[in-house]
Amino acid sequence: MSDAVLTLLKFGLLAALYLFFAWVLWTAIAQIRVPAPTAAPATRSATPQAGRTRTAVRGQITVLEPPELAGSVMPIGDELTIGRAAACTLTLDDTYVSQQHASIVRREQEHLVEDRGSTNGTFVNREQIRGAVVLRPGDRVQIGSTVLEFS
Amino acid sequence: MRSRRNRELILLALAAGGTAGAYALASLGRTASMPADLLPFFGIVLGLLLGAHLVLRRFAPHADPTILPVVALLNGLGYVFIARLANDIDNATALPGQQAVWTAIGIAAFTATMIFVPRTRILDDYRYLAGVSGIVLLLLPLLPFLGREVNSARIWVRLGPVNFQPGEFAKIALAIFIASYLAEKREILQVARLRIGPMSFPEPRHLAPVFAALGLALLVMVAEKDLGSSLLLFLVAAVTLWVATSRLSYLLTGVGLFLIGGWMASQIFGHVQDRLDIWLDPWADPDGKGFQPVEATFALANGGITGTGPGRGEPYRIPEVETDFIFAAIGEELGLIGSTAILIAFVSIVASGLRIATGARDQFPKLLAVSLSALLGIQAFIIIGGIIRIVPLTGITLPFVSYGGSSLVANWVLVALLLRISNDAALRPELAPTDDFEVVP
Repeated sequence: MSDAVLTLLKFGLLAALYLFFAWVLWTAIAQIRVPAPTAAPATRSATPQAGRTRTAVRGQITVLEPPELAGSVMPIGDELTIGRAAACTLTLDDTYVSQQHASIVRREQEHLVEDRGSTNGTFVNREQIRGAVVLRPGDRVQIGSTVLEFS
Repeated sequence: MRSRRNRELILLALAAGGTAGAYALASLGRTASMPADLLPFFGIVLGLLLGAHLVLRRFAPHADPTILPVVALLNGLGYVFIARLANDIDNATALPGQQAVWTAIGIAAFTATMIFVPRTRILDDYRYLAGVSGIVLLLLPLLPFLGREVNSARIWVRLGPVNFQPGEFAKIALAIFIASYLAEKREILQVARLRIGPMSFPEPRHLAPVFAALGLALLVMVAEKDLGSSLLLFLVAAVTLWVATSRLSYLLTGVGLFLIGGWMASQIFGHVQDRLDIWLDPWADPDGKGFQPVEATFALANGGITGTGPGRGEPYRIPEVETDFIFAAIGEELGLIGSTAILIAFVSIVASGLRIATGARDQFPKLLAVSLSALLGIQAFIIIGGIIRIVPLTGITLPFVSYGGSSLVANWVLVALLLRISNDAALRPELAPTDDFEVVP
């Protein structure tokens, strides 16, 4: 087989490799273009509270849900415990809330919410938390059917 | 979503065709005759890929469609070059057969991973098991009755007739541990409490388990003289920590610590100093220590822009060309253009991995996708960079391309995990609108 033919075949192979990657790129772009089946995840910046993130932290929670408690404000202090037990700072009479459900603690300039091994979990902005999570003003903490807003 | 798998099938067919074309061309270039076994070869390649494809259709139908074809092409081209080199290297006739068997085992491991890890979350629950088994796997070669020393690196384990490098699997286990641990602690780690000058750091106790595992792993790797792997693991951990906390200072600190550690290692260990000397000036000892990089440089120069053509170069002059230096063989016979295609392949896999990370909803799969992509991408960078001499040479394999069973099987497992995360992300339940909280004035 002559050198010219082999060289031609070599160029053919190289061209095929690049065609392959062009196709890969096209497929990848098609993946991104396909409208995601889900709405954009609720990031903090997308929430209406975004403008408030720079406001001073007052270190309190406001009840948003259930309606009969809505509007109640509670200062967090150094530690606020939440649960069904009467000994908690905030006692919630809700079968979906564990006896010791969660706690919010102040550490220097920050407030951290932590799940205390509850059965149904603690959610911050709809995401279930693991371990301790730093709260920012406007964050919504959901425990059972109760929704609290941190400010 | 079924169209994702159809797109993948087309790409897989192209990858199989490209592999068979390269196989035929390598034979034509070397002996001026078509390989007698071209059709069976094409059939086996197609069969293996179809197997992996059907596994995805069954167990992860929504996974990313580009990763498997690109991996298939890398694996296929690697095999072609190993088969082509085996003809010219002494005592190497068994290599292509072994690589084919390892590829089949790799796809079997890919399948097993898909079946036994039905949800990424499962791995999160075995965090400490992953960390401990990573360390144990690393320690195995140091055991006197199991370990074997090859080329002064003690990273091999002999089990009956099979030799393998447990470190290849340890990397994945440690990546799982680091991703899982950082996913839980990231909020706390973002809050810097210790301030040293302009830099700020988290409380050390929150990072202690990561440092303990990493420090132990690095010590073991240094004891085994496995520099490439320790560099790789360190960079992967630093990148994952950076992504988890979005604090660039952590990444810079990690790299700084590594440079200090590397300098200290070069002062203590003669072989590290040797590596640095060879990197800076391989021509000082072109027939001895510098022989391998010098030959690799000749090979790349001989290849030029478009290469000599498969089977028509002399890459077999380079020691270890079938494993660590296979990129130099590709550079010689497919030239700058062909070796750039290999780079594109790795960039494409890493890009897909990062896209998977942005699509994942929870922290753990996000960070795991990042650390696994980093594992693959940084490994390719370290060995390719070593061959083209932009970083000091450390002996690790080029993922999927190099000859080597453990590396191949471990990387197939890695890709299975990436695809699993990708599938999970696509499956996530639809989110309700964000403003459905009933705000009562």
